[in-house]
Amino acid sequence: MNLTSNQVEEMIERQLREAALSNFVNRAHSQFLDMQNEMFVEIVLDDATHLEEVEKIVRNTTQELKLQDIKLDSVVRALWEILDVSYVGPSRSADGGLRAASLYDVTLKSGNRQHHVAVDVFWGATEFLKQKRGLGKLTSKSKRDFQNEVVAKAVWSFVQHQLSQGGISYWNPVLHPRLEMNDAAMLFVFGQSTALNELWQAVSDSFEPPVVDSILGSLAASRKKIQNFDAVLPDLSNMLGGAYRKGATFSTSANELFQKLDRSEQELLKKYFYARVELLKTESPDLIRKFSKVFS
Amino acid sequence: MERSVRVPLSPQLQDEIAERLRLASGLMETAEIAPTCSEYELRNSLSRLYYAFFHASIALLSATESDIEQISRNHGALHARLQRKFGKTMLISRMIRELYEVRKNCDYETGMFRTKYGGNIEAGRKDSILLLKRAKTQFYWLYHQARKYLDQK
Repeated sequence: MNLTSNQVEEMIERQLREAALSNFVNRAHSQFLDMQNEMFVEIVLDDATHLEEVEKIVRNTTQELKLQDIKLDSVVRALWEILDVSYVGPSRSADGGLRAASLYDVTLKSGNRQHHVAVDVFWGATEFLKQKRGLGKLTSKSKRDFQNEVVAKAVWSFVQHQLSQGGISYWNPVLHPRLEMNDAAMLFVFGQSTALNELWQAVSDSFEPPVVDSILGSLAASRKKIQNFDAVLPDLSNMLGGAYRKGATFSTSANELFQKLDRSEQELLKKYFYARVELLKTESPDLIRKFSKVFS
Repeated sequence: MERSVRVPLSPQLQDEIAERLRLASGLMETAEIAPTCSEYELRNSLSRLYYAFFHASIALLSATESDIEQISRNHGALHARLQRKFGKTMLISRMIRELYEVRKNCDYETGMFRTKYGGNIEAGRKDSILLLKRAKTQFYWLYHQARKYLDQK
């Protein structure tokens, strides 16, 4: 007997309805594929508390179909969202020895179920990010906290990427609650944050010696205070852009780019901006005197 | 983490994968869109862009799954395999289907630019450059995923 993927979908859907589990299925992510010699189903749930029940239904269907000489391959998984990422401390191996990595704790949530995973960020990966974000220059007392926050944001993106993979490549955080983030993974995550990278670079460039004078002059002329990030943001547009070629697009509005960031990225960028302001105050008192109204 | 068990690949299979990746990379490099390119150069570039993905996908699937030779001549089967591997909503799964449609239009639809852009080649170029930009990130991710299996040597 030959079945189509639609018929297999109907079979499973009926059993899920009978077990009152149908409402937990995310249809946008679930799939039923006819793979020529076999069927493949991926059932994706919005609530991980029901994983075992749905797995049981799919296992039974697999057995049923096997009797009809039909092979069914399956994945049953849940969608998880990240609630929080926080720095824990130096990473340690199972025997208690120090590893060349920092440990971050990630809180995940899927429906009514919460789960914690650990991410080891290798020092090489952290150094790469510190260098790219120009964090080495910062001298404020809260520098370490800010660095941890920047790395935590990268960990967030890394875990988000792991969670975005579906099909047979999906990551099961319950079975594999520990991840490692090396420099290659950091490079990948960094490359994904184009809007943040552009704005971050614009902030860094704005505080470089040849530019900072004219930026401060421009703020003074428009009577803006440097402690008001939202007011200064449009002036960062001058630091964006690049070589233009016909048909290509490039960013020209810092405001527009800023709106593309998620809230945590916006907060991080603001913190970096204010940290650079503090650094400027320490390093260039002459500029503070020259543009006293901008700094007041 | 992946469900499939990673077993060492035979030297012959590694060579085949490396060969596919060289082809994929070469096609991607020549998929560049020049600011003054003609409609036909644009069509060629977009068609090559799809095949760059096609060969990189086969390279990756060859490293992790069996019977890939069988599906390497069947675009639909390849797309389904990729969707099974990465899920329905992963960008890579959507991207290869999108590029396949673009490639079909570029290769077979005589009035494609007239219908889609009202004959405005500049609008077509702009759209294509943005598509290429989006596709490149996905391509290099796919490419490096496959490359990992060669590093076992």
